[in-house]
Amino acid sequence: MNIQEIISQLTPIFTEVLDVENLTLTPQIQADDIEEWDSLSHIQLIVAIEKHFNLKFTSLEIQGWKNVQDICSTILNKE
Amino acid sequence: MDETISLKIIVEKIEVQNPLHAKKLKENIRTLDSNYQHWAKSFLQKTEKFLKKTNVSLDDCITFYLKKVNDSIFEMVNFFQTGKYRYNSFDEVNKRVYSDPDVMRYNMLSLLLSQVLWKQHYIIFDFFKKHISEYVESKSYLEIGGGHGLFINEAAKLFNTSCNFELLDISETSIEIAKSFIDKKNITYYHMDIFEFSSKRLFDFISMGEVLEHVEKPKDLLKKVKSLLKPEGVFFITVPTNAPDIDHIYLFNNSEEIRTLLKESGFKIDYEIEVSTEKISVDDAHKRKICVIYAAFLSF
Ligand SMILES: C[S@@+](CC[C@H](N)C(=O)[O-])C[C@H]1O[C@@H](n2cnc3c(N)ncnc32)[C@H](O)[C@@H]1O
Repeated sequence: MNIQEIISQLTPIFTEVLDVENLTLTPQIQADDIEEWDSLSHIQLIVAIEKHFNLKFTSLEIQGWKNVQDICSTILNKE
Repeated sequence: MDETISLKIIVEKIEVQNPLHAKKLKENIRTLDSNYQHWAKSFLQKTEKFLKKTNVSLDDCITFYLKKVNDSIFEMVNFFQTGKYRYNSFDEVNKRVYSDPDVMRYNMLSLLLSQVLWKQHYIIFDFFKKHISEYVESKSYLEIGGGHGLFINEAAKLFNTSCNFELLDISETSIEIAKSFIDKKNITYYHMDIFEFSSKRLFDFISMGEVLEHVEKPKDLLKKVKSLLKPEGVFFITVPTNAPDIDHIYLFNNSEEIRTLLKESGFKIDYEIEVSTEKISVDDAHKRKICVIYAAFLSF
């Protein structure tokens, strides 16, 4: 997978968890850009991403996440 | 240094490393009133002195704090997936957390910072301050699991100087931190498990913040507290529900479970408060298994 493919799989997850429509995810998007992306929905996002990609993040992996790019890189590294 | 700026500086520093968390803190701080601003100023002044004394820089303290925030995210993910706390054995948590100075240091210093950054911790502390003034005549005060020592420090400021203060904690690191944080000099410190503690004299006032969820059998702990309290004594307790953490082993699903246990243990609730840790009501938080902090003043 490349980043674009991951982003296209993340988009419906973000749309559903954050309950927002017409979401266009880009690598640079961070919590400040989406009002609904807050500390609580962030956890739901992690839960949903782990389920979808069938993986488990370590504590260290989730620590550095600042934007969509960081999430994608972690998923790519785990492949 | 102006302390309102300090709060700003802290949030700005956090924002660099964790913008998502900074977003929440800004919201928290915005919803609190001017009393909070005033208290935060003096709290940060005190904390600054304390950090200097213990040779910890603000940056280090923030790093510790963000590690704790991350621990909490990691534990919450597991909790949402399993419905259980990851740990359930006291021995294991004692070894991995309370007995490890490095873990305990980042744990307690971040908890201290959370007192001013987390709405729920501020509101609970405010509730404590509001009612504690009724008990200033107490002659003896015991704090169980005092951690950083903020609560007993407040009581020591308000209570009659003749009151005898004792603080017990299973972690040596907590005791060391409390010793540097607390202003009052003549406090007796005990480094031990509460279940090993005995006292010839009974206490007028016992305080136990966020400890009940750290034991395997909370009912036994409440029995222990009761055995240490005078018949007319008062017991202040705080307990979080649905709060996965590196050292929480007993899960309370809602405030009612706590209330029931307190009543079954023979306590009467004089004052109580529940604070949701997110922007949702207490009922919603319970339903969605999100942390609520319960606090109460109890008597027999
Ligand atoms: C979460 S901290 C709470 C600190 C403070 N009371 C507060 O409310 O912010 C829990 C404290 O309880 C202590 N503790 C946990 N289990 C204990 C036990 N069985 N006996 C004595 N202290 C204990 C820990 O070492 C830690 O310092």
